[in-house]
Amino acid sequence: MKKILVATDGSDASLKGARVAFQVARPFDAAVTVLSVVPPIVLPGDAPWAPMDEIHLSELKRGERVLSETLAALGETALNVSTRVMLGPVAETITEVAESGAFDMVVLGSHGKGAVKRVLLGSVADRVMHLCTRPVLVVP
Amino acid sequence: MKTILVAVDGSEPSLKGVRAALDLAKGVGARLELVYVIPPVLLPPSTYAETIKKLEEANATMATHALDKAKAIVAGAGSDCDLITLHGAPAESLADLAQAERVWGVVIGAKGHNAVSRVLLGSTADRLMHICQKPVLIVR
Repeated sequence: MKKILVATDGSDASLKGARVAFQVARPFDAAVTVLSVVPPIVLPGDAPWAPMDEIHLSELKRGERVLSETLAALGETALNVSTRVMLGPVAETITEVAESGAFDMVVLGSHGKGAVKRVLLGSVADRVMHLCTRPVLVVP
Repeated sequence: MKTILVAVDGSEPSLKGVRAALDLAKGVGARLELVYVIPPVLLPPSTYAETIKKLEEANATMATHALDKAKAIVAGAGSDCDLITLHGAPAESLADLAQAERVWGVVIGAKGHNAVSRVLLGSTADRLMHICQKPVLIVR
C-alpha cells in the first residue's frame, strides 16, 4: 500500500471515505491524493453566448473549495497528501487518474451530493466499480 | 475489536482479496473473518437423495479447501483469522452478516469462479455493492 486515491465531492460519504483513506495510509506511510472532479456543464447548442470558459473556471474553483474543505475537516496530518482538481466526466476521470497513476486503492463515497437518499450506491461509484481495474473501496 | 469479512471462493481474485484485506485490517485495526458461502443446491425434487447428499458433501469439501488456502495466506503474514461457512445466496448472505455490529466492512474479489472473462465486475461483487450497508473493497 503505497499510493491511495480518494475522490471527493464534499458529500458526507466522500468525507467518510477520505477519513478511511487517511487511516489506512498511516501505518504504511502511503501517499494520499485527494481528487475532486467537476463535471463539464452541458448547455443546449443554441446558447452560443454562454461564457463556457468562465463557467468552467468557476467550476474548477468550486472543486478547489471542496478540496480545501475536505482537508480542513480532516485536520492536520503527518501524511504526504496532495490534491488535484479535474474537469471531465466524473467516473471516467477518476478511473483514468487511478489507472495512469497506478494507485493501490481508490476510495469513494457510496453516493455523492447528487444521489437519491434511498439508493445505497450512487451512479458514480457504480460506474467506477465497473470501469476501474484498480482495487476500489466504497464507503457508505 | 472490529472485524473485516473476506469473501473467499478459492478463486485467484479472492486470494488477492485476502492479501488486500490484510493491508486494510492493518489500517483500520481490525481482525479478519474469512467467509465461504455455499450456494443452495437447486435440483428437481425427484432427484435421488443420495445425489443431493453427494453434492452437498462436495460443496463442503470445496469450502474447507478454499478457506484453508486463504487461511494459509493470513498465517503467512503472521496474522490470525476466523473461518465462517454460510449457506445461501452469496451476496445476500455476506450483506446480512456485514450488518453485525462487529463488522467494519467486506472485501471481495471482483470476479469469482463463475464470471465471464470479459466482464470486469462479477455478479456477486456487483450485487454486494448495491445491498451492503458497510464499506466494500473490490479487489482485482
